[in-house]
Amino acid sequence: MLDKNIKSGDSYKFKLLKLKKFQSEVPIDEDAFKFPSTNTNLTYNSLDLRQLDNENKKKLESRDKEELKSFQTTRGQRERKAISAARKLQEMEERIRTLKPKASLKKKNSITQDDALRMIIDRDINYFSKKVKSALTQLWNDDYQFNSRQRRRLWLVLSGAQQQLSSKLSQDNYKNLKNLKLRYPNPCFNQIDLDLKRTQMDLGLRSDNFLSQLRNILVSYVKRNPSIGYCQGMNFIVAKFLTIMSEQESFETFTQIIESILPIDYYTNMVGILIDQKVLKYYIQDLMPQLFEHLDTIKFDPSLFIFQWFVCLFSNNINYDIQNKIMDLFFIKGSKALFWVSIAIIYNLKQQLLESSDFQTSQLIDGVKKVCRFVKGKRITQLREEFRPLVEKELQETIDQKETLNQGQYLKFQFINRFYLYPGLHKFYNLNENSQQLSCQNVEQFNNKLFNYFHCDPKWPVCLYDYTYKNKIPNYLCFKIASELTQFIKTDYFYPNQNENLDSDQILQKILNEELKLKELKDQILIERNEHMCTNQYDSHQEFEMKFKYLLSEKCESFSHLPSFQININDQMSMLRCKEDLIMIVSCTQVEPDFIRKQKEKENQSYQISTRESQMNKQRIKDIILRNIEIPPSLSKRSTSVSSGERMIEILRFKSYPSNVKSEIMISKIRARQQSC
Amino acid sequence: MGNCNKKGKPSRPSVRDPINIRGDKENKVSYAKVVLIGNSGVGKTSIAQRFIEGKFDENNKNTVGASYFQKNISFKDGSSLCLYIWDTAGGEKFQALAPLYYRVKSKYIINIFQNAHAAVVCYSVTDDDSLKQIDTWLNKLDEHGNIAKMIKVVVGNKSDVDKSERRVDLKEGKLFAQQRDLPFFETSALLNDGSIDELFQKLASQIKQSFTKEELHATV
Repeated sequence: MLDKNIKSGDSYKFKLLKLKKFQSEVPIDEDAFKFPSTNTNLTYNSLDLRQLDNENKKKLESRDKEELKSFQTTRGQRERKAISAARKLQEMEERIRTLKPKASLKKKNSITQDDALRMIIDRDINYFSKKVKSALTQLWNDDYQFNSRQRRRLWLVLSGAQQQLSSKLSQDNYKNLKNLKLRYPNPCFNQIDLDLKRTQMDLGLRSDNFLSQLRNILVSYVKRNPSIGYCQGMNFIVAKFLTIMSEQESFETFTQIIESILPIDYYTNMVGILIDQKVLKYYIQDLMPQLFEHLDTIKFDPSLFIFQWFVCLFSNNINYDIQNKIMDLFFIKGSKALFWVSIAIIYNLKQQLLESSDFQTSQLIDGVKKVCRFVKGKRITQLREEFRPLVEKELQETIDQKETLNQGQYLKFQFINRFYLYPGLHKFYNLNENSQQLSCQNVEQFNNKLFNYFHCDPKWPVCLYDYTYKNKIPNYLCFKIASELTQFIKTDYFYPNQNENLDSDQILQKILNEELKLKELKDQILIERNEHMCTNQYDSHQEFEMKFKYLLSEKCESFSHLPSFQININDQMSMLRCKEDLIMIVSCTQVEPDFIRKQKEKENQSYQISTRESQMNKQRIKDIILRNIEIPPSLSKRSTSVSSGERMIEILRFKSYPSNVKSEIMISKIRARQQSC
Repeated sequence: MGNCNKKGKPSRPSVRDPINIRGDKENKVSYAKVVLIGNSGVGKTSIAQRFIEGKFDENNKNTVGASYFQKNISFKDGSSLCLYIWDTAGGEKFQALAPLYYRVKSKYIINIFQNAHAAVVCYSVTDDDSLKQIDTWLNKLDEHGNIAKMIKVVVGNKSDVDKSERRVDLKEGKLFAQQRDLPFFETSALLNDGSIDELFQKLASQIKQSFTKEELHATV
């Protein structure tokens, strides 16, 4: 681009630009980066501003005009400007001179590359400070070849997985997840099995052991976080880790990447990736306007390959050594590295459009060196925020065209984007003092607390709603409480009540009102849990719970094979029907007295164990529930609009059944109804 | 990969671009956009690979997002048609993206169905569920495609498997396609039996029949 400027004959402009450049360069050097002054400057004239929002447009335009003005002024003015610019340059130089001793002091304090290498291998260290990171960046820039042992440690520590691994409580977490048996189908599992054999076969990773490890990790993650589940492309990432790490280490690193390094909605609904695509396209346009124009004229959308890069974190279809190199940078620098690498690759490809040669690691490093000064982490977050509404708006528009039921899902995602996922968020821990308490508890323990709040038995192997919902419906999201709950979200929060028949304007108004509430809730809840069977049965939840447990443990075989468990995830209505049926089946079960006795004994034990404090909390929460929430009306109201037959069942369900009704009869009735449906 | 220059003219420097449109307008080569859709693991990428490169790769990776191929097909009368083949990912998560992915006039997201002249809807003969899912895919095409006379073809892949592994009979697939009034093919990407070449040859000639030359320009 600068060449273009020189060619245009305006050497004066060139000088000015250089001056400006120099001035802007001085304060940038804060990250201990020292790059050769590259001549990639922005030419605003050729910027295509179509996709920027108006505000930005105006800003850039005004800058544009100013620049143009400065070039169009008379010669005298130009000279004067040149003189003032020269003065500024002198001032700058002086400033640099005065700054220099400080800089050298910094250097003394900073960590040498040898130290950093020693720290990598040191097993006691599970956190790298900024200084170490900058030393590591230096190593990266010098194309230091980490061996697999160093790389393993590097990835573990930088991702935060080492911290997780070192805490005793979370050590068992993976084992528990792995051993947790799910008796119901999940589309994710099928997909994983399909993809196992299609992972990195070219690297010779086809041993059964490797595949089973890969499967364990992916399946465990689906169990850990069903709202994210499994996304094609994850298999490449995990396979990458497995080449140098153990199974558990890979799992922890993987969770860290998804839950703390990448933006939250990268894999949930992919809005994160769409936004990042947009951001990257903005940068391509900004830094390589010629290329962007070219792509535009041939109508080739770079999102095609960007999508693949971001989903797989470059661990697919790229040279193996470069993959490792990219991962190193990704762990050192976080998600902004994805942009650096993408732009670096595109920058190099730009040259290769004319002359063919293979893509080398050195090219990557050069490219990243050139790029990282222009692509700042802060700006990326800023751009992400800027583009989010645009992408979400488009998403909303497409959803509006489709069924209204999806609106709820969309809102849910919007909601969740405001929060962090609970586990493994060391960033969040660092921010918030209260959250420190969380970090010392493992996930299971925390879940137990949660179950307590919702009157579920934490001792029970599978939570009622977990059994029916969490693992059945990938879109199901769950609450994790950051601090004590003082407010609750209604179960039909995200689904506008269908009985009301609201206009789109009214719905919007409702959403806006809700948004205010959401902000208040932000501090208290990290993630939302959608629906609980127990709370649906609030008035008689204990009885219901007992029956459910009874069915699960004593009559598991026949129970889990009921047609009501064959929930069609894509069909909301049948899903609701299935749930109702399940509730009904459970409600009319007769529990053997022996079982009740055993359960009560267990309960008493756990009751004694629980501290007085938690009892108080329980009481408080209970009060709040009673004050704030009527019995969740979502289901009953919605289904009454379905048909009169459904209503009958509703009424039946909410009246307590006489216990002598035989469950078999009810089940057969339901089956008949389903067949007729 | 297939070069679309009809008479082997010296290629321009920009020929390395995946889609070269400007240079070919002069050559008056027709273009057609074909999308490959279907459930995950039915062999969409293998079909494309067999057609483009004439080989079967055992170590195929699962597709993420979408990938893109192109190949020239020449007819007996000397004319030719360049097929742009979009190989999509069948994964559940990307299906959730479908409204974005396949949307017409989307600013932010590539739209695979936009201006597609033909769609090859695939199922695997080893997986009866994938046959059932074809209806959903057809619905998606109707919903998001913008060319009304888009040609749709039902393809049962993996016909090379043993009878014991087979879940969908040839008759069953034929009947399925007949009921929906669609052409039906059973192919094998593994065997070099010409079934896939036949599929694309027939598809290309049908595209040529149903679309005028003006309509067969590439707007990707």
